[in-house]
Formats: sequence, C-alpha cells, structure tokens
Amino acid sequence: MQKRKSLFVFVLVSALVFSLTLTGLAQDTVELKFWHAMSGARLEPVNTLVERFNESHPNIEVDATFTGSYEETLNKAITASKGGNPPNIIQSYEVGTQMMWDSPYVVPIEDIAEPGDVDWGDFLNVVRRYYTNREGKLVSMPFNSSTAILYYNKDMFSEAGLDPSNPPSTYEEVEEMGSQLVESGVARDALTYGWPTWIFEQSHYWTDSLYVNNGNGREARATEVLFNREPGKKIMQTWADWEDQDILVYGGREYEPDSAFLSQRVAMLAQSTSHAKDIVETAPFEVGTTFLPRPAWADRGGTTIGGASLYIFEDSEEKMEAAWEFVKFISSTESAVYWHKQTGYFPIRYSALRKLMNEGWFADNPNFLTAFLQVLTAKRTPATSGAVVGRFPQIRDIVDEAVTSIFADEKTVEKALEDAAKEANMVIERYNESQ
Amino acid sequence: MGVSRAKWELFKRVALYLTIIVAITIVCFPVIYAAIMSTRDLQGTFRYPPDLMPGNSALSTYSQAWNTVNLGRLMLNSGIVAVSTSIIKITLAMLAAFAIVFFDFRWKYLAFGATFLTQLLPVPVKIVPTFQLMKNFGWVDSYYALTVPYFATATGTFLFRQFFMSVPEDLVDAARVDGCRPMKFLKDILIPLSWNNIGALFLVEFVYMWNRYLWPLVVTESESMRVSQIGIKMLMTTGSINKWNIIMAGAIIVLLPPLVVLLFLQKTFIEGFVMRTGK
Amino acid sequence: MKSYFPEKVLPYLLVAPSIIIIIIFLVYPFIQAIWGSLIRGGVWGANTRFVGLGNYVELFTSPDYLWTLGRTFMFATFATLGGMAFSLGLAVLLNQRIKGRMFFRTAVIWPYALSPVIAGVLWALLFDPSSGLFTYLAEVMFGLELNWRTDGTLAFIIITIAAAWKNIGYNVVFFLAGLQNVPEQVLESAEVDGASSFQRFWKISIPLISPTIFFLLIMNYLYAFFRTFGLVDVATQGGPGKSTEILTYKLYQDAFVFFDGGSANAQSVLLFIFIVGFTYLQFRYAQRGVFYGS
Repeated sequence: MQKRKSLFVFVLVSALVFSLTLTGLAQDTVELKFWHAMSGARLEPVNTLVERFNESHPNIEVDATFTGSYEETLNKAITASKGGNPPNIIQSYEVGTQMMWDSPYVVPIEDIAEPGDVDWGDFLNVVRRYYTNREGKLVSMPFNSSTAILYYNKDMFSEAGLDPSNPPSTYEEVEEMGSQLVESGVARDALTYGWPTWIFEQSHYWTDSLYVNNGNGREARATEVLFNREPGKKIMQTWADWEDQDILVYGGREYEPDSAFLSQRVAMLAQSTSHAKDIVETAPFEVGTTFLPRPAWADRGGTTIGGASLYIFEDSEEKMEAAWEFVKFISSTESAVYWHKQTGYFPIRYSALRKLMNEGWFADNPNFLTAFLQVLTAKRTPATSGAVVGRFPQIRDIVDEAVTSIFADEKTVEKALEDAAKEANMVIERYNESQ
Repeated sequence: MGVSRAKWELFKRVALYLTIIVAITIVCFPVIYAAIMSTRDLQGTFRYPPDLMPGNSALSTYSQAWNTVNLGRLMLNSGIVAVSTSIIKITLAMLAAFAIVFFDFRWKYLAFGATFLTQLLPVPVKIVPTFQLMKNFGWVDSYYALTVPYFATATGTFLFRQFFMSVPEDLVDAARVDGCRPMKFLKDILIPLSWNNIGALFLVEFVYMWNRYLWPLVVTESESMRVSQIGIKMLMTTGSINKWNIIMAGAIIVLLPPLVVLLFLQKTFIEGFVMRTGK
Repeated sequence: MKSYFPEKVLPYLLVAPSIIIIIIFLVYPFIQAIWGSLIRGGVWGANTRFVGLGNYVELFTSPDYLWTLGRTFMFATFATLGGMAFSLGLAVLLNQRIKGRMFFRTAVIWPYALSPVIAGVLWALLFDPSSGLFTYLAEVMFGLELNWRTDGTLAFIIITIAAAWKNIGYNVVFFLAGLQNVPEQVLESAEVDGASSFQRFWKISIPLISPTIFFLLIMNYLYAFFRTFGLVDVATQGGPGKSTEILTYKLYQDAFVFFDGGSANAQSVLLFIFIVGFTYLQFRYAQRGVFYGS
C-alpha cells in the first residue's frame, strides 16, 4: 500500500515538473547561445566575461554553455546547424578551422564588422595569420590562443645536479640533461608531452617546415600531409630514441600527462601555455618554463598558436550584430588582459601586452611571458601560420596512433609515419571530394 | 577423531566466510576507493605512493562536483526522464499484454511479435535516422527526444503476458459472468495482483533510463537538457588534469538514486523479474 | 479453451500505443538506416550521392572495421566469460547455508545500479598511470610499469574488467535464483552416494542451471556489444591507437564526429544482423524467450 502511494506521488510530481519545464520563457532582449569548451579553472573566467558583457549590454543576453571538449563542441555545433538550430557563437579549436571555413552556416566576422570597427593591426600577427582564410578574410575572432612551451621541475633539476635556471633549449640539451635526470634517479622519466601530436605539428613549424602541402593549406586547399618526410621522420626518430632511453615517456593524448609531472615522476612537460596557471598553482614544487626545445640541426622557424577562436553562425541580422558585439567585447584589450591573467593563454593584442608590461605583470609572473616571447620571435612564413586541412581532428587521431605504435615498439618510425600519412591522405581526399 | 572433525568443520566455515568477505571486498572496492578519493583535496589525489587515507575536503569536492556541471539540474532531468518513461513503459506494456492475453483479435500474434522489435532495434542500430527524425519533429534538445522513442518495451510486455497467463481461468470467468467490464477487471483485479511485476519492472526501467548515455549525448545540446551521466563525462573533460576527487564525488552522487531504488525494490525485483525471466 | 472478453475494438486500442511507437521510432528509422547506408554525403550535408553497396565494401576492405569487429568480439567474449565465471563462483558461495545472507546478497548485487559510465571512471582511476592504486601495486609487486595511455593491451584489459565487473550484480541475482531451484534432495542423495562437492556442482547443479547460464550468456553478450559505449567514451575514447575501439564507439565517431552518415548507417545495419544472430541463438537454444532492458 505504502509503495503504491509513493509511486503515485512520484507520477504526479514528475508530470508536474515535466509540464512546467516544457513551457519556455518569453523574452524581449536578444538572446544569444554561446557554446564553449572551457572548463575547470577556465570556466569561471569565461562566465565572468559573459556576465560583464550582459551587464554592460542590457539589450543582449548571452547564454554561455560548456558543451564538452573542443571536439565535442564542434560536433554539437555541426549537428545542431544541420538540424536547423545552430548556436549563435561557438568556440572552435584550431584544427576545426578548415571545417568551419567550409561551413555554409558560418559568417566571416570581417563580413559582419563595419570598416574601422576594430583595429585589426592590434592583433598579434601570428594570431591574425592563423585565422585568415585563403581569400584574405579573418573568419573568426581570436579568443584563447596558446602555444606549446616546456615546463620543468626546478627542484628536480637541482637535485639531479643541474642548473635550475638553465633548462634545455635544444634536442641535444634535452638528451644530455634528460639522461642526467634519469640516471641520477631523480625522475623515472625525464620528459613527457601533453598533446603529443600537437607537439609534433609545432616541431615542424619550429624547424620552418610545412605539415601539409600547398603552403600548409594557406595557398590552396591542402591535399596531402608532409609529416612522413623530413624533418618529421628525423624528429620522430629522435623521440623514439629518447623513449628507449627513458628520457621521454608517452603520457596520453591531451592533458593526462600533466599528472605525471605534478606527481613528480617526470621532470619536464611540454604542454600548452593555457595550463600555466593550473600547473604553477597545483604543483607542490617550483615550476620553471622555457621555450619548447627545438632541433638545433634545422633552421629556426617558430611555433604557431593553438587554442581556439569564436565563430558567428548565420542568423537574423539583429542576432548577428549582437553576436558581433559580444565577440568584440571578448577580444577587447581589457578582456584580453583579464583572460590572460586568469588562465595563462597569452593576450592576443599588442595593446594588452603593453598594458600588462606597464603593470609590471611579467616581472612578477615570468612564466607567463615565455609563450609570448616564443610566438613573437617566430619567422613570418607559411610554416608558422600553421596547417589548415579538412578533418584535421581525425588526422590527429591517426598521428596519435602512429606515435603510440612507435612508443610501444610495434612499428618503426618509417613504417608508422608512412602508414599514418597514407591513411591521413585518404581522409583528406574523402573530405575534399565531398566539398 | 570427533574433535578434529569438528575443528575441520569450523575451519571450513571460517574459510567460507573469509572467501565471501574477500570476494565482496573485491566487488565493492572500486566504489570504496572512489569514496575515499572524493574526500581529498587535489594534491591528495596525486599522492604517491597511493594509500587509502580519506582526506577532509569532502564538503568542497562534493559542492564543486555539484556546481561546476550544474549537477542538480542534470539529476532532475535524469529523474524526470527515468520516472516518466518507466511509468509510461509499464502502462503501455500492461495494456498491450492485457489485450494479447484476454482478447481474441486478428493480429494479436503479429502485435506480440512487433514488441520483440524493441529488442532487435536498440539505439545504435538506428541512431542516425532517429536523430534525423528528432530534427524533423523539432524535438532535438527536449524531453520528448529523451523519452518518447523509448516508450515501447519487449521486456515489459513479455513479463506481463507471462504473468497474466498465470491468472486462473476461474477468476476471468467469474468476472465475465458478473458482467465485469474489461477495464474494470484490469483495474480491480489484475493491477492489484501485479504489484510485484510493476515494482520489478520499475526498477529495471529506472536503472536503464537513468544510466543511459549514448542517446542523451547525441540528442541534447543545452545544459538545461543534459542528464547526469553526461555530467560525469563533463567532469572528466576538465580541459586539464583529471581532478579525480571531484570526478569521484560526482560519480557517487549520480550513483545514489538508482542504488536507492535498487535497495528498496530488491526483493520485488528478484521475485517479480528474476524468477520469471531467468529460466 | 481459453476464455476471452468479447469486445472487438478495445484490444486494438490497447495495443495501438505500443505499436505506433514501434512503427514511428523503431521500424521507420531502421528502414531509413538501410536507405542511408547506400548513400554518401559531405560533412555539412551537401553533395549527397548514391553509392550502392560502396559503404559496405569500404567497411569490409578497410582494416579499420575488421579490427574493430575483432576487438568487439574479443571484448564481449572475455567480459562475458570472465564476469560470468566470477559471478557464478560468488553465487555458489552465497548459496551456502550462511548467516547474513541477505546482507551479503545486497553487497554483491548493487553493481546492477551502476552505469557503464561510472564503471569507466572508477577503473580509470584505479589504473591511473601516475597515481592509480593498482598501477602502484603492479609496480611494487611485479615491477611492472602500467600505463594504459600507451599500452593498448592494458587499456583493453581494463575496459574488459570494468565491463565484467559492472555486470556482476545482474549475473549473481540470476545465478542465485537458478541455484535455488536446484532441488536439495537430489544434491543430498548424491552426497550419500559419495559424490564430492565438486562432482555435485559439476554434474548436477550446472546442468540444472544451464538455461540460466545460456540466458546470461546472451544477455552479457548483448550488453557488451550495445551498452558499453559510455564506458569506453569516458575511460579510453577508443585508444590508445584503436585498441579499445568497439563497434558502437566507431559507429558514434563516424556518425557524429566525422559526419560520415553513410558509413555509420551501414554499420548500423551490420549491427542489426549481429543482433538477429544472437536472438536466433536465443530462440533456438533457450527453452523460452527472455528479455532484458528496453
């Protein structure tokens, strides 16, 4: 009897809540759906920026939703736009660039912006180059830009008899200091990579080499990957040798390797700058940062940016205008300064950089300057603009598989990269023919 | 001789209990470890070598898990979806089984056979077109998409059919002689007899719906429509180091509702479901 | 002869809701899936064309799909056999004359309430490469360096264990119910005849619960095939490499990550064929049809 009664109450309550939540709320202001992939320590700053915007723009209401990883956010957006109900603004990662350029639903921000609305020259050159399409148009608004740098455990360096203010800058030094760290028993492995495939891409640009053909996809649609040639093969071979000597350990595809660094099992971590704040705050030891080590045997190019930018989806004139207001606000000097301080992504505008310098921010937080200097000193070549190619996320998966098979000694470097290139080229061909 | 035999028996008893306890510990250990982890601060989760000491940050980890992915709302959604779907499934199954057992009509075997299709066509077998259908209906990101496609059930129909067939003929005849209308018969006689089956089925369906992941992942977009299992995935996607303490706090919270339902309906489940289906 | 209510229209009304749901949300989409498996289109839905059996040919000629197929069968087989063996052992223990049986039973069947997603995160934690307890124990006890982010075999073993573990609760309940139906007298008379407890179990209990075993075999297989997506998605995302890429994971990726709807539909149709196969076995060899879940 008791059971039956509670069951009925259950039904009633659920039916009530069900019908209540189904009825939407009517509103007069322009409502914008903003989907992003910022979570953890970055969620709060995003929400703060959105709140600030909503407060200063009473007629616009931005509803920010964390939609999962970059990949999941992009997938959701594609699915939703095909379903006829796209968000207004999404944050999409750099490897989604070609797909977003090809999207019939995305409107390039330069088409929405009034001339003189924004001083494009104030945006870091490397950032602007990355998001400018083959027609010379800036498609998306730069937001969170990062690059790969080297984090190292200063305590472990001292313990191993190394100079903690003199971290490795070349592959040769990594090898030298790495073996000392391992042989002295201080670290189980010397180095690990966050986003290994991204580091592999960056290493190409570091040596001023293309990752895909047609000028990294900047001159014409890329049709072929180039990572199975030089210097890709040589770089990967070095990594494989390091792995054999316990200098390098594979820790996972994305952010998983961080925990090996934080639990002091690995002395160095090549990872996105976006983690500067997280890592420095969580680590129970002193963290140093420096440029991503590069092979001294190759020309010096520069690393490009990772991270993401904001895309506006086609909608009514009113909504697109409002969305433009929002992305403009997000990329303003003030927002850029705030965002940088909160996360470690580097500021995307020269004016923000000047402001931070005047405040003396970098003197107190030298780790935050590393990434900045690294991209500012990059050569301006197609290589350092970064690769743009269809189905880049899938290509990353393929390369990741190659990396794993090399590290697990299942395949030789030559074979793994050859196989991966073949598979990647098929994927690209399939993508291009469907456009 | 007698003494040593008694000793041998005692030894056997002790060994039996020990084995059971070890086995149960193995079964329960992952959750116990998760509970311990959920009480530590972030640095505590990196402790190496790891140990089983709980921390004292439970309040902060549970509230972080609750707040960062809006778990309250997600749990509410899961609850609404699981409860309403379970109830509707049970109702539809009961009605169908009632028709199949107590009426003679032309396509009854076809109708019964059709319910088998729910077993033959699980989500992955039709996921792309079903999603397309939700788009055509304008149901994407709504409770409709999360519930309606699940309303038919083979398990339920089968269970009720089996049970109704075991209802004594006399009871049916007597009802008919008394001029009892079918729906009254269902309401006054069959339903009161079926509480065990209903309870068991509720448990099965509730657990199934609460734990669903793939379909909600595909069909929901906004945070206000998300379900709790997706919340755990969101906690895993921190865009950073895995915050195991918070992930585990979230996992424990999300595990609780179906666990409570299971504990309450355990007996009914075994009597009304296991004993009827598992042979 | 069975007696029926005389109403002619009412039964149709009673089955109608179920049938309508089945036609709209099951049969119609499935037919669409068959049609969709014969076409191919671009990411954004443009440039759609008919390719006949092209998607199927591509699946069976790419090493990818065959690999995934093989992995899934291995995964399902190991998870099913391992999980069932452990569960049967537990059920036999709990079927002894013991005190606190109800308590023990509850302590064992609760994983039934667990979702595959939660099972995935729990085992990912235990084997966390840098701070996991089991990783540590393996290092201390056997000198092994476990890292399932690089070691595909290990990742595969972990998701298999997690899947098997999650199903212990379900299996134990059914085994217990089966064992309780084994008549005491038969076992006792066998004991009098001098049969050892192992012989009694093997020669009497097992044959008597064979319907339960068969039922669970099918249920576990179906579960491993169709309900473990969440486990893989939170724990390994199919990796490292493709070592844990099971059929449903590949299907999801092709459908909603790579937006290759044609291939995804073809995979759906193939999954349907597997399920028909399992169900055929179930009807062919089980005495009664048995159902679970949806």
